[in-house]
Amino acid sequence: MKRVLFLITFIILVVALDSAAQQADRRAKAITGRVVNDSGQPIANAMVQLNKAGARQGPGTSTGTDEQGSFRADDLDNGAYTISVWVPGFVPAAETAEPQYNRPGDSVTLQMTKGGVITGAVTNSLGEPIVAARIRAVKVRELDGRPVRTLTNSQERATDDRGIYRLFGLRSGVYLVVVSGRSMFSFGPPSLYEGNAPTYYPSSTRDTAAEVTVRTGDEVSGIDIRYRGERGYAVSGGVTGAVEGNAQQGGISVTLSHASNGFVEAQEFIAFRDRNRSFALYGVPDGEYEIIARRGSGGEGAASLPRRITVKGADITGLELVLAPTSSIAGNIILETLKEGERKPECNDKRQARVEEIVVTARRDDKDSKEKARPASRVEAATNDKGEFTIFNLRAGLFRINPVLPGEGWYIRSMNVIAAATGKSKVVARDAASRGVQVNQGERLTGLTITISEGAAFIAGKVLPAKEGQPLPSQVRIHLAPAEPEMKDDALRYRETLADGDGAFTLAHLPPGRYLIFAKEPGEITPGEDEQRPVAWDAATRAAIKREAEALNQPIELQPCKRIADYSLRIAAAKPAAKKQ
Amino acid sequence: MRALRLLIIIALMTVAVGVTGAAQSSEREQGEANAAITGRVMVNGKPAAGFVVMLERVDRNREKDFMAMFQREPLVKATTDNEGRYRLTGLRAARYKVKPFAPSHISEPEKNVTVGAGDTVENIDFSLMRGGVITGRVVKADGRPVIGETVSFAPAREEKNPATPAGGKDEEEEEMDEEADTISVTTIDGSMFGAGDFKTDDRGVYRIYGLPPGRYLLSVGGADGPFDSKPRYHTQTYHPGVTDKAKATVVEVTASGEVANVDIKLGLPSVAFRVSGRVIDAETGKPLPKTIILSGPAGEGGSMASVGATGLSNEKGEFRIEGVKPGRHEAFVSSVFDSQSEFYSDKTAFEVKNADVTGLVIKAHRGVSMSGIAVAEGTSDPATVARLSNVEMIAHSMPTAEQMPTYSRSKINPDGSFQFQGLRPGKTQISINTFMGEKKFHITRVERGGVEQKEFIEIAPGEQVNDLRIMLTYANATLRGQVRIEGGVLPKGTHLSVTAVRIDKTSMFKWAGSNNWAGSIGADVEANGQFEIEALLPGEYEITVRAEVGDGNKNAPQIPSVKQTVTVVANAETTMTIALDLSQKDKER
Repeated sequence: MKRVLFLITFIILVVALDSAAQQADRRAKAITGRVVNDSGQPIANAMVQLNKAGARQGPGTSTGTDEQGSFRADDLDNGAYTISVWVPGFVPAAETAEPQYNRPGDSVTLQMTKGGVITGAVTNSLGEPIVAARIRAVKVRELDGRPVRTLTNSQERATDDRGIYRLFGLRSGVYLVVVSGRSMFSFGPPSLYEGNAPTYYPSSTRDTAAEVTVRTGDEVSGIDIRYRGERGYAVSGGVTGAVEGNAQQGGISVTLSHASNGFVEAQEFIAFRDRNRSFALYGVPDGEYEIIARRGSGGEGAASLPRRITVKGADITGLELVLAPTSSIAGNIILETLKEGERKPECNDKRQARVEEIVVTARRDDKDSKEKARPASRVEAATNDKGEFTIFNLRAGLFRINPVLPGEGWYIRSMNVIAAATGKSKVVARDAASRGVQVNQGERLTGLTITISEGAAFIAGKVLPAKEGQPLPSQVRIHLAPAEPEMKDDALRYRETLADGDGAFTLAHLPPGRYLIFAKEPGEITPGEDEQRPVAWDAATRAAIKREAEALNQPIELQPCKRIADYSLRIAAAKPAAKKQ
Repeated sequence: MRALRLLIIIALMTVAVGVTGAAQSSEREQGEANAAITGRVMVNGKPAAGFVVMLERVDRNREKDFMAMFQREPLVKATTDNEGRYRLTGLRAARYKVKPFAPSHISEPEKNVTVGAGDTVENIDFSLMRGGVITGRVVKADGRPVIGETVSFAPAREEKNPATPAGGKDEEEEEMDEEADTISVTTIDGSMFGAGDFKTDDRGVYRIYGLPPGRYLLSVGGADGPFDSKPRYHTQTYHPGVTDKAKATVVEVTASGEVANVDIKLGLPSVAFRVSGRVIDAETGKPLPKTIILSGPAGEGGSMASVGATGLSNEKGEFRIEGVKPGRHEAFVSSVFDSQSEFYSDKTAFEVKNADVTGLVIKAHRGVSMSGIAVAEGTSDPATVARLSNVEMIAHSMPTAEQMPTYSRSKINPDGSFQFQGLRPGKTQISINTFMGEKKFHITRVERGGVEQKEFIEIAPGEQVNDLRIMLTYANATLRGQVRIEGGVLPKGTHLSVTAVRIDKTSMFKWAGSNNWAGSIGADVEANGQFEIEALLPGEYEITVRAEVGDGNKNAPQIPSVKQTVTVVANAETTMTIALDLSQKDKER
């Protein structure tokens, strides 16, 4: 065993050093910060890991905090970094929908809070303890009902000799607790429970599982599970097609997820020692699934089409997953700074931005597909110092591009796919902001030009009820639409957000201009919809918003760098048609 | 973060193996599934109902393959009836490992059983004993819980009676870990890394179960790896809260007993420091970018396992090593993790007292390179010759106490060519990387400029060797044997193993022997006394049968091992019988 552990250490080291080698160039400044607890007290000896956005896989830079809770990661390349903090049993106090990026020169305070606990016992039908079974909590929703932002499971733990388990360090949320047949990362001695279908709390399949709500700092006990020990089925087959890739790009993974919600049921990494590229996923319960094979993680790769399968009372064998090269979208970013004459005093204290700090993300926009809500469908790429980027590993489809801006003072002015002039044909610019970017299978699309400009405006405010004293509806959406008629088709001039529970809202990175603003109760809203897919992405919806905005006629003028911090906005009476019971 | 690391390992392993090429196709399942294995499970001498006995097919190609850890075949299992009897049925003819799943019990080691088509192998019995439990809490100096910390235990050793390591269910443990006196609890059955099962929870509580009865020392801290480069650390602290092992309170646990409140209170953490400096080319004085620096405690010789920290130089040759504990250390440039590296260095000693160390200069030397042609000997079978391109060879300088070894890895290209680089001048050996890729080849002869090189190649400083010729032989002799027990009955739970060592008649052995990068050629003896060793070169071998008495029987008398020589014939199966005489108990092992 020692030998294996040593070998693993050896391998981790190799990877760590490899990735460090790639980053050895152009080292610059530091990100510093503090890790504190709920009461602002320092947390010493926290592990802090900084990962450069869009960088190839690798553990990034890690450091630890001192007695004051302070850390410092210096010699960082220019770029955007996500920071993760590892304090056993603790979780970040605040969670955000999208990853938060920091840049060299930033100083951050990261607050950690004690994670939630779920505890209970696992027994068989005779009431005897189930020993050394792997158990984990799978988050299915946020407390406010939105779908999970990232596929986070709890750390997998095992039941003890009494069948007792204790899952700790949980983020707030709604969970399913499951005794899994097989670990996602299974090595070591075989376990009795391998090959069994998972049992969900209280003694259920996934579809009938009871949810467990836990909040950070709380302990939920008595989550006892009666283990079913039912046989699961095997799903096996082979991967063919574009199986050979550049060795730097990792192996082939096969993922089986639930067709209805995209949750991963089983996953396997195929070792190349197997010339047949065969895979077998064991312990799969009855259900409807989608299975997909992927190769490559950092650069160009390949993927199969998702295949629908139904497991019902029997193994599925002989599946063939055909890998085809994935697509990529390449382009460049233009940073437009304000000219000296335009630079008003309020524009000033903005931090200088570098083009390398911009992260470009692509999100799949298959309106009609069930894939849309999956966090995995978000792909990011870093920008080099010339502003160039390539987003790799996209499956054919329509993508929405969203650059993560370098600071509050910046907005997206335009986003076009420019097809180079060939022969006599003219240069064609296609509006990628309004229509998205369509890539075909294996296509290497180039020429996406994104102009990011300085001078963004900002509005923060509060939505007031239609009549004084009335309560606000549970959901309120704020819309901005361009007032200028010639801008009516510019998707970048439409903006929307959901108000907090108390009606507060913020809209940042706004292009300067004249707008119409209004707030309304959204007729029908899927949780998380606003984050994933703004309604203004569709031309028809844009036109509807524009009409509604014109009817309500609440103009607002946003000069460059304008900051409005206390805007009061009365909610429009909801149209009867939009009401839904 | 842990999960991420695992993913990285998996990704890397697939890459690494992808590079070294695909191995032979695994044995396909053949024949009818009509064989069976039956037996009985007893706990403390009484029939044990409701225990599950598991079976895993042994595929020798998979068994020694690192990748096999990530891929697993479905398990076959059977539950014992009220009389403790189990029946594993519907099996194909194959070799299997059989064992009850009983993590809270102490069990005999798994048994290897070969079944033929339609056979029923009976009396594969197991006797179990419920293990002991030690539980307690780990707290910081201020009483707050220590979360997610691994609690280690070690048998409290007494003079004259060295106890078997408690994690000794894994026989590799002993072999690899002779001096280590702390056994990570994660080597107990039913738990492995990944699940973090025996770590402290959010209250600082730990619970170790399935312990063989005995006296233990419990501790946290101490052991660490290259990633524990934290600025603060705890020195190894024993129950109840002492760093001096001699003052630790010994915990005695009985079979099925539970000892609670075995708490460990940590002292204040110690501070680790940062070491920085530059790495330069010793000849030109120029900085060396992207060079990996390893650092470890001084005086621990050529052991890579002692490496505690790593650094990587930037464009200016500057490097930083974080989290170095006070004490004497040595830093050096190593090619172990970078097969493209052309540099090596001597150890540069430094001492960390109570401040960061700056200005450390490591002088590196450009290593020598070796290239040549590899040929498959003794075969003209194109399929066998083609397998050469799946072989990865490792050249390594032979270390001295003062020098770290240098390593270089090379594939064999389709035209037979290979190249090593960055090697320290001096004595160099070449072996086959048996962790990855094709491993049935042995190096049987090495020539340099047409002259046979015995045991090693001597390279002068600055020399570039380009006229090597390496002969590899595909080893396809098989040795099958039967161990006959005489003069008594083997104690319950005895584990027999066999090793084959080729007798040195020619220089060929020196190279053939160097194939053992991953250990010696050996096999377990099955429950019926049979064993089989594959992939041997023809020749005369010394065969040793060793007997290890199982965990539950620590005080049982030791059984002496026996040796016998045998001549193994090429391309064939050689059979032998070895007698193990239990009446000769006093013989030296």
